[in-house]
Amino acid sequence: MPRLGIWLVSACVTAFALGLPGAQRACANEEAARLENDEALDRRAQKRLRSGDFAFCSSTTYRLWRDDKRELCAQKPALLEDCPGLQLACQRPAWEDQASDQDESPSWLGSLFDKLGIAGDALARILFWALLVVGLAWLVRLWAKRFAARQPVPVVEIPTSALPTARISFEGDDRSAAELLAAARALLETGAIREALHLLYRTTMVHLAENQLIVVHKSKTTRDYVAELPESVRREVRDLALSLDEQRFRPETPMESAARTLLARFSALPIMPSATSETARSARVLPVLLLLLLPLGGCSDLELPEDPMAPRGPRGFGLFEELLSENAESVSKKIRRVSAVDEETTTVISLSAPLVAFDWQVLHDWVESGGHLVVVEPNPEFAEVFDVDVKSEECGAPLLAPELRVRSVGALRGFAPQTEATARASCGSKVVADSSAHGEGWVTRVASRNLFENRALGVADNASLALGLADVREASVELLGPWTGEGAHHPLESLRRAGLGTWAAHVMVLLGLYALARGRRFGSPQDERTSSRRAFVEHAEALAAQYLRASASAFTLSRYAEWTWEMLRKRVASREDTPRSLARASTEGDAQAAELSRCLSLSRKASELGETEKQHLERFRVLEKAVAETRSR
Amino acid sequence: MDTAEFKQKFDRAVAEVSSVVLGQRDVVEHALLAAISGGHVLLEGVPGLGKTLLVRALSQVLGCSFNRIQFTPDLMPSDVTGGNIFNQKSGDFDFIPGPVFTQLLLADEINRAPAKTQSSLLEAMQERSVTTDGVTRPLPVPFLVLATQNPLESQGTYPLPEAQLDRFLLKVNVAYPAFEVEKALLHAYVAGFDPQALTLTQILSVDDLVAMRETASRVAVDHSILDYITRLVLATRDHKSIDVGASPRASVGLLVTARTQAATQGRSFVVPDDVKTLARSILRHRIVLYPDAELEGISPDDVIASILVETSVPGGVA
Repeated sequence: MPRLGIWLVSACVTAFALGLPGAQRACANEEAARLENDEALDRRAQKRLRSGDFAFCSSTTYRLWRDDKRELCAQKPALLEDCPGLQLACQRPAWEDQASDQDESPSWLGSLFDKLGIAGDALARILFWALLVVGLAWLVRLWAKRFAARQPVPVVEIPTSALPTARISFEGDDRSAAELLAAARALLETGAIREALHLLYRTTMVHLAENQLIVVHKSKTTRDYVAELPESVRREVRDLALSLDEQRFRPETPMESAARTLLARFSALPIMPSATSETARSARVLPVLLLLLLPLGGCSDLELPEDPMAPRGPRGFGLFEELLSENAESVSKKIRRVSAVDEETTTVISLSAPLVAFDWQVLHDWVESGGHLVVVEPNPEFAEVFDVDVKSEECGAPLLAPELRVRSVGALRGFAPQTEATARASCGSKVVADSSAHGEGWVTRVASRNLFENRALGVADNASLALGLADVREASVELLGPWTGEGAHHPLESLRRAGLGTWAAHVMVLLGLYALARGRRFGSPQDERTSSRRAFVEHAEALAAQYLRASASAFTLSRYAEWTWEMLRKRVASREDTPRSLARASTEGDAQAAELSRCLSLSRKASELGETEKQHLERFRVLEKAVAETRSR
Repeated sequence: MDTAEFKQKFDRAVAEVSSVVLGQRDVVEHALLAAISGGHVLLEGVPGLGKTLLVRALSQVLGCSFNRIQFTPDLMPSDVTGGNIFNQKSGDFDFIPGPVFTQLLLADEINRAPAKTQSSLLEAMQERSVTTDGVTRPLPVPFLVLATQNPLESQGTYPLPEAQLDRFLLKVNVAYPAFEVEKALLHAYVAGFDPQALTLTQILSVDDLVAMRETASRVAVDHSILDYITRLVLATRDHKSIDVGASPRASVGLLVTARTQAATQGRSFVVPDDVKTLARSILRHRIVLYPDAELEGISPDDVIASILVETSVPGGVA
């Protein structure tokens, strides 16, 4: 008996253990099958849709794409009633049809051209391109002018080692010609005529420099400046400069009338710019500003259509994300690829995410360990990894879900039913959404993304259905979508996606203009590195090394012998200018004199004798001795 | 004489000399400038550039007597200054004047004579008189020496010491003529030009020279110009390539020649251009470069150019 009891208990336990997962699955599936009608949620969804954040529903100027128009405008009146914007959009042509809309309020530029009664868009575009071309031509002209101005001016070339200081740079008055002129006038009024004339001279030169006719420098005189001038202005400027010199340096005090005459002559120079250099600068900047600002005025007419897949577009998931955030514990959008699932995540929802087999494998492992995966419009890679059929077909039957009054918006698709899955929404004989267990977790597959789109969530109990399928109560949700793994790979792509490409281009153009205006040198001037001077002995060593390499001892000896000859001629008094006479006068003793005389004679023509280096060296020593001995004479 | 007349006579004289000395207008102007300023000129150039012709032409245009001394290594001081020769008939020593007793003296290749002979001429240049055997004899007025030097490093030369070079007011580099000028020269020879048979018009007389010198001495100089001259000369004493800078004689020379230069332009006042134009000629022979600077190929003209660039001009832009 006890043995029988043990057997019975064992059998029950075994049966229970075997049956438990199934029992659990059944329980889970039953839970999953239960969809609750959350009226508050549905009302919130409708209210959000009409709040104004969703332009396709609330905007009176919205336009639909052709496909959307076909789907949405054929809807039952309930949808259109819920969305007044859609009603109007259905009355307008689609974006692709590009018809003008009388109801659209045009931009100020558009109004202007409409009033003129001309093809406003075409003229705005022509003007834009014309300004762009003119602006570019002006830039090219400016560059060419600067390039021409940089052509070499005949200046004295100075060897760098002769420079007493570092690089010679322009050291002049920082004031502009206009400021100097004003200062000169002020000095004239106070009676400081000579000072005023000096300042007027400086004004003239700075003014010529501002017009890139000369380069001013502290060391240049009138003659230097006149030589630099082009023929066209040389005569007038020379006459003025010479007159200024005469008034400035003559001993007599210059007269005020003469100074005023010179002032008038300066004003009458043929190269006078506009009143102030600031005005001239402004005049240059104005076309650029106009070039940059005018397209902004025209751009308002060029309103781009909203991408229907945009988060707040008809086919976006913006409303679903908002409802998720309000109902789930936490919601995060996955931007990077699915390499791992956070530990806290309980539910992953894939809204048509372009995942690959690797991503699905990671999710598969996570589901097996107890996660809930909701896959909307699964792709073939999902089917491979999860071993689930994902073929779907269009379904014309109405959408049905237990306990809910749901309505499809747009075309529906459905799967073939699975035996082990629990259908959660159906369409005729097809299954629109079902849930099945995988390991310790479960997977809900949805054939149509319509159920989660903005355009659908405000209709009937669709919001309850969508959130019910996701089952996000007290869940930590990770949202995958078209954004997953689609981050920018480089900064330019980021700019493009953010719509900042045009602005970035404008900024680059402005920077380019600024660099052009500043010139080649952008930062503060740096002194050029001058080569360091070498000690004299290094040069002597280098020279000696060259002679050595050339085996030029004979030549060296002959040069040294000539030099010795000259030294002896200067130092000693000899009767004749001959080696013998010099030797006698330089040495004591006949033998030494004879040796020196012979050495002098032979050394001077050493190149012809073909002697060895050793012999040359011996002769060199004799000559060196003679020079040393006569040093004191 | 006013500056307008000064300019007119100066231009005529230059034009007359330039009619035979082709392509050397700068050299002619400098020589004439020195003559008016009362200084001597050192001409440096290779043989055959017309230096002798220049002096001969100048003597005719100025109406001055002219002598030429060819300096050789065996030339003695008495060959330059002259000396006493015993006259058997009178039983006394007669002084036979040397070629230095002239108004315009061409000292050809002065660097070929030994130092002793050089110094006898240089003493005459400085003192404007010759002393032999205790007797001092003044030289004619005006007295202008145009000495020549061959720039090529040849053997057997005795370069003038720096202290002696200072006695020359100007040093002028005579360069090769340009292509067109040389061609014109050949045309002139084909047309029958004979440098030995010069017949130029006398433009200036000795009195004119004196009057011009007087006019030049009255040319006004602003204190800022004096400041500029001083700064230029002082800069030669601080330059890192210069071993020995220019002396105050250079400052005086620059001032005198700048005044004369201003007068040649018809002005009664000096402008910075006058100083800058003459700075090279005044300073190039008065500075001594360091050996390593010379080894690096730096010439005195290079150094003076750098000094000119570094020195701000009075009444300029800075």
